[in-house]
Amino acid sequence: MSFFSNFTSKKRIRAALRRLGAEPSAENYVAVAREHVVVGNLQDILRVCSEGLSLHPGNAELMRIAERARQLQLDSRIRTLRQDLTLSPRPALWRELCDVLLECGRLQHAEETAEQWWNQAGGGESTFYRARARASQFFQGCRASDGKVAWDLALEAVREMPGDSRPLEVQYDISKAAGAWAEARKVLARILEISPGHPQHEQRFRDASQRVHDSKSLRAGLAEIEATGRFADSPEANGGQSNVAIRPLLKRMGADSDVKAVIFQRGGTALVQGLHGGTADRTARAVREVGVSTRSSARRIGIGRSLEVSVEGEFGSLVIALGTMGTAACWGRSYRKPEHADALQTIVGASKAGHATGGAA
Amino acid sequence: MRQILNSLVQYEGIHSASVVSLDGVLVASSIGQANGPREATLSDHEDQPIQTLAALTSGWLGEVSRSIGRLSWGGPYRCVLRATQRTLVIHAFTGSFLLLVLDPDVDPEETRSLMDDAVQHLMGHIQTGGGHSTDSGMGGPYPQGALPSQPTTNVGIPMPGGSISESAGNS
Repeated sequence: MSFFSNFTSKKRIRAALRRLGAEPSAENYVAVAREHVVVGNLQDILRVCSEGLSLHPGNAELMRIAERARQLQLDSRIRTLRQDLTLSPRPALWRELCDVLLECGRLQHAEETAEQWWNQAGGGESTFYRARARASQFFQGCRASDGKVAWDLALEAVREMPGDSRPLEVQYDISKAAGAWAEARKVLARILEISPGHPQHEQRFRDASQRVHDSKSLRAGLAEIEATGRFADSPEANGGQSNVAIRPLLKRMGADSDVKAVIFQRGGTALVQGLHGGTADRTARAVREVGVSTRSSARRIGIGRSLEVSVEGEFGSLVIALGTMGTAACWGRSYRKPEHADALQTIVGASKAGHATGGAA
Repeated sequence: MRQILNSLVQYEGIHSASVVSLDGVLVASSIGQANGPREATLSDHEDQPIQTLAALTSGWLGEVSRSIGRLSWGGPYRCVLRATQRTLVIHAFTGSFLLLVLDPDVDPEETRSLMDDAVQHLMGHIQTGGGHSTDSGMGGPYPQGALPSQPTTNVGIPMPGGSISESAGNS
């Protein structure tokens, strides 16, 4: 940045800060953060966004800027770590690089980095990180093959570092998600041998022991996850109920003159508002088919778990929300309306869950 | 055609833009430069070439069209699939579709006018014979199926009025 542009940027920052001092609104915080973006000082951006979000929690623009700045900060750390690794490769740097990549959600890069580490130095730690990266891919994409590979890698890591419970925890997460409670109990028993008396693991062990009669084989559990896109410990699989009252929401949506029909499906049951008889049945079946094909296609394509589909044509628009509590659809006369999409996400419990899954991995 | 696609991927949040024929063959594609050395892949999950994405997306579009076709709704002209890692936006036109891969935090609605413009340019490009057309020799819109319950052939019909943007505005 030239001297002149630096000078003018600082002047604009001071002006934005004065406006913020006069009125600490979310817009003024955003304006200050944007001025810092121009200068490119990530620390200042994060500081302003953090302060703004503490006063205006949930502000979308501040969250977006903060997330972007955090991502850039992590990118910068990744570059530094890679340079350091070329000069002097050592386990602490490999470990941090893998952790940062996993935190960024660059799961494939994390696995490749762990493989490089394993090729160069070997050892249980690198195998553990390979298992962890692959397990994260499994939780994000619901592919049975990823789950199996992650399980095998974790098993290998357990053999290579027998006194460490981290690979066993990877195995526990996979077996729990697959509903393989017998395997989960075995893994927890080994974890408790390593760290006896740990209250969380003891609680998990009791839970797994209670559910062991419902246990599936690991292979069957993983195959079921791939087919349904749901984990055995998800609310829907456990027969959990959405916290929202579905019928009133469907009725409220159906009362909108722009809406032709609203449909909610869970398992083999469908609630249809706005259509009757055979038309309702056929429409519900079509929505179900679109939902099923979308879930499986998203996994095959490799874009993670599907959250929403919207289809537009001469018929109007069909918006389908795919969540842990089922599938909800709205057939409207015109374009997808954000308020309808939000209501559908609330019905299926996907508005938070879906993003959280993506972000956590 | 490539210029049109290149202009789309210049926008932040658009990973790639492709023109794909309805049978899943990639006609042309452009991938955002901001993605660094892994620009030729769809996602971080797997090294999927853009051809695979085209084929799988076409398959999904066919399944969606078949499902809603049973309701005699006609074929879709715009589909959005929002997932945790990426968002796919499809805009169908004569015998092909324009496919954008977006970041998950980008609102697909923001791409609507961009895609409308791009599709109009692409259709003009195809009509003037300036590029590779997937339906060359057909001489017009994709042919209708013998039965109204075969919607896959309708996917290529833009919308009433023959213009993507006009129809999008009417519906």
